[in-house]
Amino acid sequence: MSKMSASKIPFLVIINEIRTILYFPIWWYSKGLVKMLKTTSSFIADMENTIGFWIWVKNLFVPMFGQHDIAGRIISFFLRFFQVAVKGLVMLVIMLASLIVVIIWLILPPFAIYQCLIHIKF
Amino acid sequence: MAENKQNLQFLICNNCYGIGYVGNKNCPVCDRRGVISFWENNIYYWGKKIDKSALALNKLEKLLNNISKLILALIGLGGIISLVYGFYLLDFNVNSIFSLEYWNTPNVFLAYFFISLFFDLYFIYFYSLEADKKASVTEKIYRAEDDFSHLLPPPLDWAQLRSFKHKNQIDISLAFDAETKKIIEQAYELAFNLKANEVSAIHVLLSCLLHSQVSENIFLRLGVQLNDFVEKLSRLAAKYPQSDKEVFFGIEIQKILIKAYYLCYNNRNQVVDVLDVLAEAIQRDEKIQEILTDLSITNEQVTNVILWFRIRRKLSKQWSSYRASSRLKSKSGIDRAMTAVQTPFLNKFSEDLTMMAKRGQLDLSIDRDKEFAEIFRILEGATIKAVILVGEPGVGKTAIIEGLAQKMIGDDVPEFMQDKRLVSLSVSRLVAGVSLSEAQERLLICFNEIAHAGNIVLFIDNLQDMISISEAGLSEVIVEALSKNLFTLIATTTQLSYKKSIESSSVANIIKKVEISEPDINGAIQILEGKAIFMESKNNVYLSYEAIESAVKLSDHYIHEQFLPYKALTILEEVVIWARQTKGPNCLVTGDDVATLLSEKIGMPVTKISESESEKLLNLEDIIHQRMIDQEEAVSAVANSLRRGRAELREKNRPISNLLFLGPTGVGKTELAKTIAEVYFGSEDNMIRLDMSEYQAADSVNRLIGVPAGYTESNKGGILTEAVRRKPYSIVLLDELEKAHPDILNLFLQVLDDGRLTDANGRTIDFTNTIVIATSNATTSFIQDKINEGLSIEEIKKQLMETELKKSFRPEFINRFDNIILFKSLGYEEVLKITELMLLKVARSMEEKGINFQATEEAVKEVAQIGFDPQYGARPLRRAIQDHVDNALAKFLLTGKIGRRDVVILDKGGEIRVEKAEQL
Repeated sequence: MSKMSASKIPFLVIINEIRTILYFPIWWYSKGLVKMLKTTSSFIADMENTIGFWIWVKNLFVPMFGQHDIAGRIISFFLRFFQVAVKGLVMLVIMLASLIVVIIWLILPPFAIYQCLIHIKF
Repeated sequence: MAENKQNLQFLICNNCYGIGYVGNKNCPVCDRRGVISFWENNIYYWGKKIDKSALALNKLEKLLNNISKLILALIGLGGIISLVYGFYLLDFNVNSIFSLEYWNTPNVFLAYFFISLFFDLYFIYFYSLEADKKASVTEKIYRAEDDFSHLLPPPLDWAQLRSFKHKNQIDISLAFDAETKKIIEQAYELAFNLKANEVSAIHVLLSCLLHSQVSENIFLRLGVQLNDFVEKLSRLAAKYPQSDKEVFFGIEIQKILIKAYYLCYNNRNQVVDVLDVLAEAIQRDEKIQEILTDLSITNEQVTNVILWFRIRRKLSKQWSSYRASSRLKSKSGIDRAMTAVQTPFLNKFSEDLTMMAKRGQLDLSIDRDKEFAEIFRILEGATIKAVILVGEPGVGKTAIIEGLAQKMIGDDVPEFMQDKRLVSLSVSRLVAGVSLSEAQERLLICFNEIAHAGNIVLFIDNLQDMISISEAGLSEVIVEALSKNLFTLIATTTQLSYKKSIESSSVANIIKKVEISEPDINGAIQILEGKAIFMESKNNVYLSYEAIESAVKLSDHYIHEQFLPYKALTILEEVVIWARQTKGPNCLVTGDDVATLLSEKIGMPVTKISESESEKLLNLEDIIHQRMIDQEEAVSAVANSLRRGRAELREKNRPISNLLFLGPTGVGKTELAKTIAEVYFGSEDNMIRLDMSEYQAADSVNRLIGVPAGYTESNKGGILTEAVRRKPYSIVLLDELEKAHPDILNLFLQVLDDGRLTDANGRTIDFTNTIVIATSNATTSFIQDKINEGLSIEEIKKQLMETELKKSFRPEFINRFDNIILFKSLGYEEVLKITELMLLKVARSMEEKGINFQATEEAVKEVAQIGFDPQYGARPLRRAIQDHVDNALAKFLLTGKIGRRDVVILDKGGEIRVEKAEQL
């Protein structure tokens, strides 16, 4: 079994910490970004499941509440169309918001550096 | 060197002896792997370094991490305060805040905010890194249960290891949860303090017991005294090889950890937890198992309790997952696409099970994956989607349906069942108060609504009820609706009803049968374990594992009319309430509690033999002799059989004992049977007595086992089978057996040998909890002659078996008896003692009236002489007492000559004297 002298332990800890700090920018644009994209896409999928957008799209031509007569079909279609439009809009907003979050993730570090450069001049 | 144990094989590095390090450096041969195992093309090893300095380093790192997190959080908070303060200086003027000038002009507060923003980002990174350090257990690929092809031996050469890609070399330590890792570290420290040579199973077990609440609870549920157990383990640990040098985190512990991981892999768990490590540690060490054996705990019990805790976790996880998905389901019974239609008429005659599940009113089902898979497979493949679950009452058909409702709200079902309602149609509501044609109409409207709604899976409990209402009534309506494929149907019925009503009906042609069999002992235990949590919280008591196990095993053994798990569940529910009432809240329900209650219910001892009872059993002869005079051999033979029966040293699939009593009339054969009923079954009433002289004709078999279906009185059942069905814990006394027709004796061959008899209705009646006693006086004169000749009982028995008995019974029939007991004729001396006993009975009945009855010695002798008849034994004695004592006493009582507290003395010549009590 390997043995370390007690004095070596703080040294090892410091080395480890420095390594962690140096890895930070690399992580942000590699593993971190992938993680971020995964979280965002699962959030969008979850929201889609809650809103039921695809269920309504798939059933666009299926009459609502079993009203299979012509009038029922026509009313259903327009009602569904309206619902799909609203739900689609909500989904669009959610997707845009998610995209904005991803963009923020990407530009936040350089933006913060840029801002620091401006304000530290003071 | 590769090792093969329990299908899992290991490769251990010879260079570092499995430790992974040589001196200060990583082992050059195995590259820190030490011990590896190999399955599914991956190499598994424990990668976390555990020694004194690594632990110190770990602790320091943890401390630094916590400090870093705190500092980062404070800086982040400071940044936000600084930003807000900057806004405050602008009087929160929106125009100024959003002006480019503000953001482009150097500002100390914004400078601090943007610097702190870096720390915030670092904070996110820091947390994410910690989460990245965890990994899930690799997912198991589906294969047949007997397919072990994935368990290939590891590469025999460490050089081959390098050819494995990095992703195929799995460090299992990443899949262990934080608590378990800590326990492993504490096991190392424990081994270090005990100066052990290497960390072994016992250190892991001790560490689990000392630091993990779950492990502590497991042993508490097993009824183990923790202090005592820990003490025993500590004593054992001290005996392990010791060393003054550093402790090795060696081969043994690494094998345990890899096996724990493998256990998780097989159970498809994502994280290795304390339970897995505990289970493996116990399995690994024979000495630990010896201690457990000493505490009367088997390996199976430990496994089942661990499973119990797993079931609890799994259920709560499943519960919350189903709860989460149920939020998307509508409360009005309409599907998400709103294509369905409301069913107001159907709702009057049904219950929406999915809605009940959504409200949390139904239980989850346990250990029913196979049944679910079969139901889904049949429904998915068939054109006509209809299944019927066929199983005995109580095996869990309704539980499966409730579980299905839960699965449906969790969308844990095939696509064609998703977003649908499971509706239970009530037959009683459907037919209530209307004629058959109206009921048919109602059913048609319901089916119409179901077909129109399009989102209903119909459930009909006890389908036979609907079919048996009329020959071709409601069933035709069902058949027609199903043939048109209007909806999916799930129904239930019992085996008997399926044969009787459904198999012959047209429904059987289109409905697929799914057999729901009774779960085995372990399956039933698991089901009860799943229910235990609800029983505990409802009644505020704790269940020990032994209580659950006893409820299942004892009910399986002693209750034959019902089925598992229902019968065990009802017993346990009753015991829980009984324990709360008798022992108070927060008590531990033990196996003895279950046995005590069951003994009370069935009137037969099933508890562990207590000290007082074992004393009673050892002195059984004396107890019997309090009622029986003489017949030493017979009494001792019976006592021995009872002792064997009570100590469970008997074959479980035969009656407790089969005895044949031979001897003249009036010598105590029936009396001994009655005594056994009282001693063993608690009361003389627990005796089924059949006078076999009434069954001399061949057709009298029908009276014994009932008339087959279709004949008159076929619903009555047989005299013997019905009696044993109602009183399965009793003595079956077959008086004067030799007089019965040989066909009837053949019937008893099965009873004596297999402990069961099938009645005319096809029901199997269980005789395994009875004592069968047959009496016969066929060979009386032979026995009497031989006794007079001075032959020993053994000799007479031998001769009887060889010659005399064969005249009345077939040899295979005689051989079925455990014991043939000879009763000898009674002499005057014995009759005198019996007279005393019988007069004592008279005295007891008088005592109830407050009168003291005594008999003088001369009177006793006189009664004995009158009642003694060498040919009829003690039989005439009863009449003698009746004529000479009871009659006289009755007259005195009716004339009012005897008052309370008076002493009545029976004197010579049958005279009755009354000594009046003192006036008070």
